[in-house]
Amino acid sequence: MAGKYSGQNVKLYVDGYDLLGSNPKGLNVKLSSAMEDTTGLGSSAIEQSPVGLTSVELTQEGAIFDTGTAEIHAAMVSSLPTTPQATARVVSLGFAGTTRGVPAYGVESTFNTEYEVIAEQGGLTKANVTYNVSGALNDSVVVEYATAKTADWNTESSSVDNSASSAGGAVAYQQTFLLTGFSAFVGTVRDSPNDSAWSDLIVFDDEGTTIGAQRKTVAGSCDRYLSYAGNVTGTGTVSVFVTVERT
Amino acid sequence: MAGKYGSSSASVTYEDGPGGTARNISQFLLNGISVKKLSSMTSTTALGDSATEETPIGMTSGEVATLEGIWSTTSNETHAIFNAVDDGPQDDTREMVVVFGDSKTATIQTRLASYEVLASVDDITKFRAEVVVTGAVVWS
Repeated sequence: MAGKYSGQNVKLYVDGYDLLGSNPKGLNVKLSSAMEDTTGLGSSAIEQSPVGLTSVELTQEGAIFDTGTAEIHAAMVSSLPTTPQATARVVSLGFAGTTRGVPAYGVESTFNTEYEVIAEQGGLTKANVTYNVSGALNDSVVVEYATAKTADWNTESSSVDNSASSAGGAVAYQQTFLLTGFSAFVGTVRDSPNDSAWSDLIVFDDEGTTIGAQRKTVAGSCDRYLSYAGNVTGTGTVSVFVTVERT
Repeated sequence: MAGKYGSSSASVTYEDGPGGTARNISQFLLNGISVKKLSSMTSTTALGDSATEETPIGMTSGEVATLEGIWSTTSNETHAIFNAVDDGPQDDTREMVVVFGDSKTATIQTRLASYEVLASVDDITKFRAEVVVTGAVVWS
């Protein structure tokens, strides 16, 4: 639902880890565009023009140190890059809840450059994380938020309507933040021109047997309606947060 | 009517994209609005002067305070207006119009340089947008 939101509507996932479990106090994401002074001779006022370069800052404030499975310590302790070939992390965040169609963000390429644990007298131990973003901020919409699914499912009966098709391709993020028991899990973003005949748009890789995250792109046209299908093998439980940007 | 005015008399409109549609953002701004027009000076203090002297060089600039306020996902409100920063060298400018009262209006051409969404405990989610002024601040 369009409107105002508060801290209770926030979602933050990093490589499939749900970091809200560590109670961070704040979350900021900032997109900036570099400008250049283009004031020239004859100008009577300073002029600025975009140079075509954007940057992203992501800040998470004050989480509680937690050594539980899939909590912040597990998410961060071994994540700092140690080589130039280090794999970037897949980050998804939302400020408007989880209803299909609300705005959310995918962050193309993020590294944790600092992980700090602080034990303080008379208080809980805290964990601070600094992110360094290398790449774009994908201004997306939520296509699916599903918790504790135990069998195949899809969202075709409650799809996301873009009002029109688009021609510039799409970027999809899938955060699988709970995955137990199944021997395989494959998520698929699907599109339709009429909200009834569906075809695969972006097929994620098999997530396997543990939590994780993926970012995938597709070129070309995307039909008006988007939905998501989750396909499981075996017996288990899975939860996902999926966002898509039409680029 | 000539005289003093308060925040209830102020209004701000801002285009929702380069050369876009003007949207009234007054109801979302929680920290007020300021518009500054500056004239660049150069020191012309010379031999024999007993006091420093400054002379305008004929160049003005403008500053607008960072816009801060309520983040809203309703169409034509703050997320829709600010989420795409101006990153094209051929982008048109975005016009900001600020009325302070008694129809005294500042019209400013700007570039949207940054957009930030801030969520915190026990508060509604806010936005912060930095605009840079390009060209003259025009008062009417």
